[in-house]
Amino acid sequence: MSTPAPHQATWSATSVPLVAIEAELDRLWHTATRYLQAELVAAGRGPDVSQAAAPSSIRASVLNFVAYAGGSSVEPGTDEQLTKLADYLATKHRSRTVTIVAHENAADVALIATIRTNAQDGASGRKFIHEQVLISADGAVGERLPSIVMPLLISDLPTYVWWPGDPPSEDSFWRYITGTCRHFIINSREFSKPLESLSRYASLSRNARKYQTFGDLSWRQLSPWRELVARFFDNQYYRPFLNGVESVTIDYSGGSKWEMADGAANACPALLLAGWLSSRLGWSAVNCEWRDDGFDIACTDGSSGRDITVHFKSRLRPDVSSATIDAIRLKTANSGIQAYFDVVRQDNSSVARATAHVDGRTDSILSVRMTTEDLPALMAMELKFCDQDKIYEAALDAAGNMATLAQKQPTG
Amino acid sequence: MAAPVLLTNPLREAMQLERTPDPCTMVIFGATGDLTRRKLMPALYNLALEGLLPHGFSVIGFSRPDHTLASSQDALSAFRERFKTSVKSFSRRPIEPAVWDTFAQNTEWVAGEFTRAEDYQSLRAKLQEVDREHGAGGNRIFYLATPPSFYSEIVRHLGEAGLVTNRATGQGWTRIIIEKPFGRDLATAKALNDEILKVFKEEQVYRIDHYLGKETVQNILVFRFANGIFEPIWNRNFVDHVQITVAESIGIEGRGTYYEEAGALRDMVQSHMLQLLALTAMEPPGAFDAEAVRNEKVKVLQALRPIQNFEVAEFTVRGQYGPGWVAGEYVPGYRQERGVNPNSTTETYVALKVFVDNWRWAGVPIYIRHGKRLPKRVSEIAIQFKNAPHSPFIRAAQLPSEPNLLVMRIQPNDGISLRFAAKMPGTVMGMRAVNMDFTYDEAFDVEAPDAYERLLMDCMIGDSTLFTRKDEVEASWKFITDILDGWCELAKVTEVRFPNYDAGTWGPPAADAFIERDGREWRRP
Repeated sequence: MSTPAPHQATWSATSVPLVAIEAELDRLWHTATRYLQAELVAAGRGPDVSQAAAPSSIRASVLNFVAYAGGSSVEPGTDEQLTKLADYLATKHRSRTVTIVAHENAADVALIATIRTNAQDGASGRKFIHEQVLISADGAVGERLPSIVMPLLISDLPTYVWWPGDPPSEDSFWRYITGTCRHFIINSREFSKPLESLSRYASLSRNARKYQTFGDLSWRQLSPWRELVARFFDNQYYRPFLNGVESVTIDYSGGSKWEMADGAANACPALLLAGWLSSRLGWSAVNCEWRDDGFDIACTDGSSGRDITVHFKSRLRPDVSSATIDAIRLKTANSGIQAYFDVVRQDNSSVARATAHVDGRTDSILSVRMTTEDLPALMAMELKFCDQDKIYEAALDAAGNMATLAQKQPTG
Repeated sequence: MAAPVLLTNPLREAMQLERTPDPCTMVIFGATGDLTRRKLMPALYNLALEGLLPHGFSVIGFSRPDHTLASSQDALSAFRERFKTSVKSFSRRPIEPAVWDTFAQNTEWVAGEFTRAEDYQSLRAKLQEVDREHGAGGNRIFYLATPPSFYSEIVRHLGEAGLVTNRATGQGWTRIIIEKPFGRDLATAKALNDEILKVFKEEQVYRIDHYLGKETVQNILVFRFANGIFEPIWNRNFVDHVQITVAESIGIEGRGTYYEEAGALRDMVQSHMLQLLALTAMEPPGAFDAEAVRNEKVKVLQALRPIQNFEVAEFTVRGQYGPGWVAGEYVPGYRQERGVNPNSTTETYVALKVFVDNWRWAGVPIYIRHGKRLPKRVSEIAIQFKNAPHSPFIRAAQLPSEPNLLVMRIQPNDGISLRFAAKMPGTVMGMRAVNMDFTYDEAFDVEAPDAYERLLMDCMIGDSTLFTRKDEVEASWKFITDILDGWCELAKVTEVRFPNYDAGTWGPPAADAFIERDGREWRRP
C-alpha cells in the first residue's frame, strides 16, 4: 500500500479513517527527513555541529491550499496538473495541499486518498517538505467531501480554494466550502461560459459573508494594464482629462476554446478592466449593443450624467491559449482640448507602449515590459493576498453588470 | 506664490504603488565612477523594467570630459554604452531590448568639471532642454556620487547657477542625494551640513545610507511595531543585553587609500551600525513617516552615553588584522594591502559597549562589533533576555544553559530566530535550548529589490523616511568623535600594537576579554 521513496513518498488507501491519513503524513515526513539528513551527512554537508538542534529540512506552512476539479466531466490528466501546480506553489508559499478530483458521473461510488510528501529545494539550500493529499472521489460523494477535507486542513492558517473552470450554480461541495473558507480563486480568462459565469461570480461576491474574499487570476494579469492607465493621471497636467472621458476602446483576443456563444473571444479580462474604470470613475452600465467584432456598453457618469461608451473589440486568435488584452484607448476632452491616452501591446512582444496625445501633439511615451505570467505564477501572486480586495470586488460588481447586459442582448 | 492644489487620482487607489513620482530628471555627478556603474545604473534600469519610473524621466550624466571623444554626440554614445555595460554586468535582471531602447533615449550627457562655474551653465541649458522635450516640469534630483571632497563645491555651484528651486515657487522641485561618508568627524559633518543648508532646505536633502534600504533592516520596524507581543518585553526589565554584529570576511578590496583615512569606526559604525542600534532601541513612532521615524531615531542617538577620554580603554576595543586564512585561502594582513602604510594604526576591527541612557534601556549594555577579515560575513542583532526569575526545576543539571535569545539576521539567511528551552524526551526532567526559526526565503520566495532601487524611488516620491536627517548625522558623529578623540589621547600614553588578530579569526583576544569581564560572551553567528 505504501511506496516509500527518498525524495518523494506516496501512500494510497481506500476508505480509511482520517486519523490514518494524518498518521501517514507524519510517518512519510519523518522518513523523508531521515533520508535528507543521511544524504547531507554523506555529502559532507551537515548537520552543522554548531546548529545541531536545527533540522536539515523544513516542515513549515503558511497556508492551506484546496484545489477542486469536478463537474460532469473532468479532463484526463487533471490530477497530474493540479499536483504539479501544488508542487510549484509550495516553493513559493509553504503549504499543505488538498486536491480533490471528483468524477461525479462514475457509476461506482469510491473515495481514494493518496498522500504525497515531496522534498524540494528551498532558496536557502535547505530542503523543505511539501505535503499533499489527493482525494479522488467517484460517483455521488459530494455530500461527504467537506467532512473529509475540513479535518485535513492545518488549523489557524488561511485556506485558499482554487476552483478551475466556471463557478457552479449548484454543487454541494462548493456550497459547503463557500460557507466555511474565506478565500476563493477562479480564473475568468478560462471560463467556458464567460458572460454567464462572470455574472454569477459577481453575484456570489455581492452576497458573500463579511470576511470572505474573492480573487481572479485574470485580475492579477490586468495589474500592469491598470498601472499604466493610472500612471497617465498621476501627472497633474493630464489629471483633468480623467473627468472628461468620452469613450474607452478595449481590444482583446483569445483562442477558440473559450469562444463566447456569438463567436467572440472570452471578454472577461476586458470586462474587468472596463469594470475597474467604471467603478473608480462612478459610471453605471445601462445598455449593450452587439457588433460584428464585439459589443458596446453604454454608461452614464453618476455625477455629471455624461454618456460614455465602452467599445469591446474582439479578435479570435488560434495562437493565443487564453483571453488577453491587446490595447486600451481612452478618448477624453477637457476645456475644449481633445486628448487620447493609449496603452498598446506591441505585436508579438511583451512590451506595451503608453502614449498620450494631447491637442494633436504626442506628449509622452513610455515602454514597459508587460509580464505575461503563466497560471502557476499568477496563482503564486494571488496567494500573497489574504485581505479583501475592495477595488477588485467593485470592478467585479461593475463587470458583472456589464456581463449581465451583454447576455441579454446577443446578436444572432 | 501659493502651491497649486493637487488633484487626487481615483485610479491610483490600492494599486501596487500608492504614490508615484512626478516626472523628473536625475543628474548624476560622478557618472563614470564605481558607485554609478555598480549600483545607480542597474538600479535605475531595474526601476524602468518594473515600469516604476515616471513618464518623462531622464538621466543626465555629469563628469569630466573625455578628450579622446571628438564630439558631444560621441560622448553621449559612450555614456549610453557604459550605462548598458554596467547594467549587463551588475543588474539583477537581464536587458530587455525594447525597454532598454526607450530608456536609453532618455539619457543625456554633460561634460564638465565639478569646480568650473561655466560647466554648470551648460548643465542648466541641458536641463531646460530636457524639460522641454520630456515634460519634467523643472523637477530635479542631483546625485552626488563623487569623492566627498567635492560635495561642498558642487552644492555651491548648483546654488550659484540657479539650479536649486522648490515646489512653492512653481518651478518644480529640487532634491539632492548625498552619499556617505558625510564628514569625518563632528566638526566636518557640521561644516558640510552648513554648506549644504545654505543652498538647500533640509527637506530637499537626502543623505543616503544604503543599509536603510535593505528589506531586512526595514523589517526591524515591522517586527517591533506590527506585532503586539514583543514590545512589552523590549526593555531593561526583560533584556539582559544586546549584541549588534556586522562581520565581513573580505578585506578592504583595493580601497587602501580611503580606508587609511576612515577606519572601521568611521566606515561602518558611525553610519550603518548606529542606524541599526537606533532602529532596535527607538520608541514606537506615531506614524511611519519621515519626521515621526527620524524623531524617534535621533532621540536614541542623542541618549547614547558618551565614551570620552580614557573611558575608551574600558568601553572600546580596536584591532587590525594580520595575515591569515579565510575560507581556505591565505590572505595578506592589512598593512600588506595596496595603499596602506606599512606601519598603519588604522583599526579594521572595533568593539564597543554602549549604553542608551533613557528609561527603557537604563543599565542594558549594547555591544557593537564590526571587523574585516573575520571568519564569515554576517550582520545581525541579537537580543538576549534575562533568565526566568525563578526556576521550579531545582537541580542545576536540569537548568537550561542558555537564556532566551532573539536574533534578527540581516544577512545572510535573512530572518528571525528565537531560542527557548524545551524538555528533552525521557523519564527525567532534562531540558535543552532549541531554535524556532523564520527565514525570508522559506516563507517568501521572492526576489527583494536592491536597496538602491528602493531609496532612489523614495527620493523621487519625496519620502525621506529611510534617509538620515541633519540632527541624526550630527548626533552619531558626536558619539563617534568622542571615541576618536579618546583613542588619540590613549595613544599618547599607550602604544598601539597592531596587528592584533589573524585574518579569519573573530577579532583580537582583547575583545573576548572585554565582554567576558561582564560575565557574557560574544555570539558565534
